[in-house]
Amino acid sequence: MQSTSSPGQPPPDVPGWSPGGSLWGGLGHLLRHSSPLSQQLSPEAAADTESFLRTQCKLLIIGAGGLGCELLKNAALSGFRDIHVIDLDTIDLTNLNRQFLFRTKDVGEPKATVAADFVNNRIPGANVTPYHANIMDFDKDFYRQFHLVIAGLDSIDARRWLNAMLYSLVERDDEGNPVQETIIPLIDGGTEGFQGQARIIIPSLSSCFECTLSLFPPAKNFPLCTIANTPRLPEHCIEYANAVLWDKMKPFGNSKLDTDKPEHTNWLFEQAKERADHFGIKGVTYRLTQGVAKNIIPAVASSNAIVAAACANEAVKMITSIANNMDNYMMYNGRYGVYTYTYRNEKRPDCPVCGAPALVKVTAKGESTLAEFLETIAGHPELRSRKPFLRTSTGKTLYAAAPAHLRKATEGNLDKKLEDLISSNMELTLSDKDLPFIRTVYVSFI
Amino acid sequence: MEAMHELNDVVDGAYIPQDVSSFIRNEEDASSFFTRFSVVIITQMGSIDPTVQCISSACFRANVPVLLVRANGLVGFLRVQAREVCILDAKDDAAAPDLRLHSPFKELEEFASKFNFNEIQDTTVLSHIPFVVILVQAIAQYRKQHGGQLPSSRPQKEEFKEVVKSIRPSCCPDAAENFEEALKGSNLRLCYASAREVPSSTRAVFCDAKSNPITVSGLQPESCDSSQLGRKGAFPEAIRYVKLSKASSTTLAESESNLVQGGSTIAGAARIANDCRVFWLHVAAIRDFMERFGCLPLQGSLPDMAADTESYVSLQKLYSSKARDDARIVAQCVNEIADRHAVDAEDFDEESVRLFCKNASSLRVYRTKSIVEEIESRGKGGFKAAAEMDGALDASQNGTAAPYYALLRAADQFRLEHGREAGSVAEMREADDSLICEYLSAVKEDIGIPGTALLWRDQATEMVRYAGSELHNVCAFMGGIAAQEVTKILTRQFMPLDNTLIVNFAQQTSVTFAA
Repeated sequence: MQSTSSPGQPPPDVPGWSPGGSLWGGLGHLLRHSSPLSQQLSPEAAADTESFLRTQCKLLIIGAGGLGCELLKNAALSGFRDIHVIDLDTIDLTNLNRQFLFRTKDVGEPKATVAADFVNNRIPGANVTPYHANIMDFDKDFYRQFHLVIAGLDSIDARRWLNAMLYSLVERDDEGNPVQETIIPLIDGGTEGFQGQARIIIPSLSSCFECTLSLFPPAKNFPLCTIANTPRLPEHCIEYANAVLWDKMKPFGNSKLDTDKPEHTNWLFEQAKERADHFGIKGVTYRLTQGVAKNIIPAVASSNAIVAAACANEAVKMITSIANNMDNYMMYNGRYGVYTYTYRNEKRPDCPVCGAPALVKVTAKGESTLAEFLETIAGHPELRSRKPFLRTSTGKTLYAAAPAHLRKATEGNLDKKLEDLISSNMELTLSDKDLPFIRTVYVSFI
Repeated sequence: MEAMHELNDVVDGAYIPQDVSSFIRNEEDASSFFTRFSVVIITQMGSIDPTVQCISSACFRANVPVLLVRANGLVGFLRVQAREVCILDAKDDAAAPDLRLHSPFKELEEFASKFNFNEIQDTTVLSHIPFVVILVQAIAQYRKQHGGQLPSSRPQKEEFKEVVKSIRPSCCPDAAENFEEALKGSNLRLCYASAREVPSSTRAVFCDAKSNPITVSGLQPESCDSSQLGRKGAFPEAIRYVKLSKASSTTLAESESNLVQGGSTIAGAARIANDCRVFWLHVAAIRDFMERFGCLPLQGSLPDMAADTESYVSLQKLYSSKARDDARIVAQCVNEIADRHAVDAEDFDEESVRLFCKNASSLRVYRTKSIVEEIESRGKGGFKAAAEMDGALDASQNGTAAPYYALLRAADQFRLEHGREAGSVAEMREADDSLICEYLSAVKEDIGIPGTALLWRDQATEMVRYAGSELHNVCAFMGGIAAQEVTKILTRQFMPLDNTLIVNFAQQTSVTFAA
């Protein structure tokens, strides 16, 4: 096999070495043998494909957490070498049970850096470049350099942003058809408890993340009136300490709540406990406090392994053509037995990112306040805008969540009645700092 | 072992760097060696391999769960074999909350009757009366009009709904969440006659012969001969992994006798047998409760609902104290059975009874056919139905993952007869391809799959192409699934795979069936 003579070949005592002769023996074998089920594969090009995978292919992995650690390991052990990874987070003690690229000594360090160092030291030939940053810190030129992006994100907003970014890179020829070389595929994985999904998004050709936003229902928050007036669950008491008491009592001066600081979480715990005792509610613990304050969804290590392996497998197939790619979405559920279902998500013609978006019709009471109307927009399944910039069609700004000087200038409108600001059956333009598009909202009073 | 220790330094492990078939030559060997473990995972061996058959037979008899997991090219396979796993909490999402609305206990009725809807003027107070109170009042009113019966026919259910609506005072605001909750279908259903029935998945446990409170056959020792367990055989010595940097001589000395040397700790199979006995003891007592009171002991937890703090917390206390009372009755019965059958008092206490009662509706028994029986039954299991669902019996579709069940068997047959993987020698590929097709035909005939030689022809070629190669991601996926299933089996929570999974990684599709 040609690969055995290539430079930088790992010595035989490397973990993962297989008797086939090279670390990637299995892949090399499949590349060299034609398949009745994969028409794209040409065994004559096997060496070129291997060389592309190892010397040219530039892979971006987003997230170095539960899925990210698995993805980095999978990609590096599949033969990808030029791997870049972005993660904003630092390592927390509670990550260590599943984020296996980190050790106790790494707690507090940036995930991206530690993960990259680990893979580079452990897997010969791997060249991982870390970015301890937010995905929104990078521009089009940055994203354009990659052949493929794999995302292991836990935030819906970040995925929406990334999806729109990759779509925006697609260029069109004179006839309006997408230019193949400008299409950067996105493989997106996600898990929650024993469930998960892996999907392939080919910007402009397949359905995109925004097309199927409804698959991810908006997170449910406890209503403020419940946590303030009629708490029943330990979570209600913790949320009260978190959302109300922190700002009111300022236990650490003006410092913002940082759930990574034990003394902050402990303060929340004590306040919540006191409130719970007062109401006779049982079950406030430090652990639960941490869970509620950090909005932790219980992570199951095996789900991450399964979903990340499916994502990495699709990445390998995409680059090497050893088999066709799945079409185009797999959902996984391991709660009751083992269940997977793979189907094609269709493009939505009125998708706000890749289609021709329709007006979003919203009804409201004329006497309700602008603040109440903004809550409706935040909870609207298609908009989910929490940092809105709302303007009338004549250009008058009703409210701007950012930047600060505009917020100050428009804050006064929040308590005003809607009917005093706009009239019924009016079109408003909505943009959002965190969302990658502008929508037209059609408001009618009821 | 070193890598595992790096991931988790409390891992205590030992290894034997030899081919398992070199020291497990028959079922007796397997029985002596493997019954000391809580679970056995076999990787990259076929179900028709004689060593696998020895191990799986021995483990089946001793009730030690076995997982057989494999990756071959772009195909993954997992088979779980367990004679009996007693699941303590299946965590069934779909289970309805246990609120006893169909037969409210005295304290609940008294509590509910304290609310007089027509006297409450304050709409905030009105809209914070828990829906449980509304429904308890409604069901009492309905029963009074219907000779104590619960609604069961469609018109009766409609009528009941009207009763619920009639309780709502006209001054109550439209958006009152508590009344909305009371009128929700899933909550109304808690009041119907059908709500008294124990769901079939739960009933199976309490209908099992082993749960009979008189005979309690679940307490009897199983057919396997316990003198065989942990018997010392002529096995190679296991090498205990010791981290070099630490002062390790003492650790080695104190742990030397455990695990593979056997004897000093309870062997895996004995412990599993004991867990099962404890399970059936509690189940028998709960069944006795069920036969006396017509329902399961109360769970005692209250879901969140629109309510003010005081009434919610009072209601919560009511349910939890009733659950304690029920558990006390069950505990009495546990004691009686334990006395009668000379069960060790260490095996149960108030806390264990309380937990069993709390999870009563989530208790399950998981059982699979043995691997040997699967092969001998010649396709009597669920494969054919699964293959049909997969479109694999239709020559024009050829299915997704199901054909690889038969093809892995064909490839195993090839390996047994030729001592190498089909397709592993370049010059022999064409010959291997036709041989695999022959083996495939034999397997298809054996398991009763109709159809021509063309059925699954392309997949046969694909199997030869894979030639037993291992791809990292395929192994990682199957390893992840196997780890998940082992966790479920050892913690006895959630439901394990029943019992075979085939994954086609070329299409990322899978089928499962009870082989």
